[in-house]
Amino acid sequence: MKRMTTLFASLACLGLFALPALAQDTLFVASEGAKLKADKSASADTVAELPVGTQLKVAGQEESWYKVTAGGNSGWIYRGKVSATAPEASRQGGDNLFGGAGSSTIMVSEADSARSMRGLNESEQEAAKAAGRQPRPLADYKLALDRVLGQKVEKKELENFLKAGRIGEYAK
Amino acid sequence: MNAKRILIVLVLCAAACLPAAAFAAGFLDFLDPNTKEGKIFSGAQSVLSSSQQMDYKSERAIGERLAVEGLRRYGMPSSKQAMQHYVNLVGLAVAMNSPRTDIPYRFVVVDSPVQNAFACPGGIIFVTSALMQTVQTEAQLAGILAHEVAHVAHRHALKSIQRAQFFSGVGQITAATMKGDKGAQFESMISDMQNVLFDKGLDQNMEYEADATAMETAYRTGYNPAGIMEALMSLQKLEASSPDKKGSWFSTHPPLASRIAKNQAQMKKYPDARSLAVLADRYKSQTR
Repeated sequence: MKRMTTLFASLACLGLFALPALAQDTLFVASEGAKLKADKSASADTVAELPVGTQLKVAGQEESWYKVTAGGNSGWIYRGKVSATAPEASRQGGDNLFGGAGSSTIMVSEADSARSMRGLNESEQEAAKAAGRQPRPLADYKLALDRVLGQKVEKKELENFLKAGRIGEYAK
Repeated sequence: MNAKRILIVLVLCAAACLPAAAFAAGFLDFLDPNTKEGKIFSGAQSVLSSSQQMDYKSERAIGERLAVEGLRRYGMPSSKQAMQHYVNLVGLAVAMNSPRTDIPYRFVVVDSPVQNAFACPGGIIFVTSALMQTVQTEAQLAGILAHEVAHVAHRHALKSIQRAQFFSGVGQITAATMKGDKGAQFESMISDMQNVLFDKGLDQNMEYEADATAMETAYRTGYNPAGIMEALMSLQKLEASSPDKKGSWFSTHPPLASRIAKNQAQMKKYPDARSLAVLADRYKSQTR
């Protein structure tokens, strides 16, 4: 019995030490816009674009790059794009990072109802007083918010921005 | 004997779960998204407990409502379009390496003399023009934006309210319409959240968690993760001389000294931090 306990304890200890090694053998894509590159350089050819959550088999690491296999393709991936654990699957996510945010769901017609009109006016009066400014109509805020939400950044532009700043995988 | 005991426990568990399930089903039926007002906050669902996640549409509706309050409170968006676009580029650069990459974040500089940055649920993130002047490098801006993205990714504001509701015994938030009791409840929730975001601040541990995530996110992106810490140090210098702390980073965030100490400890994880992007010149030229 005592021998069995010792055996289990030894196995448990082995398991603890084995875990980090296993974690390094498998990695997961954890960032948007991750690319599998033919060589360990951002300027190398792109072998495949890898969606978040893709499981990677690690064959080695050099500098800031992992040599990996993903779905039959082999190549290199920048260290900042991966994590040791699978990213939490978004059960109720939005569209995507580069999707349009559209316009706000706040409707000027909200002010139609006498109750909300009165409420908004009262709170706007208070907010204006606190900020030492003139009260504004709700439509001004909706317009300002819609302009904010209407700003768009294209994937390619962001890539060029990172490249110009020599950030992350574009450092060299 | 043991098997009998297990069976009794299982039966008791099932019995305890039944009323909750029945209540949830009935409660969801009660919502009517087909009304005119229902469409305003279409998808706004009940929040039964902190373990149940709100759907994105509802989260965004709450965030947009809070964003309007943010504009009223702090000021309108800055008219410097080039700077607004630059802040969105830096913000998206970190967001794509954050723990939540599948929502359309938007970043906005508002004209305000108050030093602050805050995040509305759903991904609308504000930074004041005063804080933009305090910040000196792109890595510092990236750190602050990554901190705010972390609050959105970890759903901190929503969790604060859910927890508050749960403990006060209310347990549900409904917003299918803006009229009547449900509208009043929604307004009350917005008011609670305003209090958390603009006055009281989030739970200290949420701030520490957002700092830790921000450093990791900045590092993964390729910015020097010390950026957030440097920005906090600049704020610490200003804190002593700041005449108005109301609604500022100082009143809504935990003591700077403890945060800086924690961030300094985390820097040990990044031995190559000094080789990463800082970009002081680009920051200056883009934010003029």
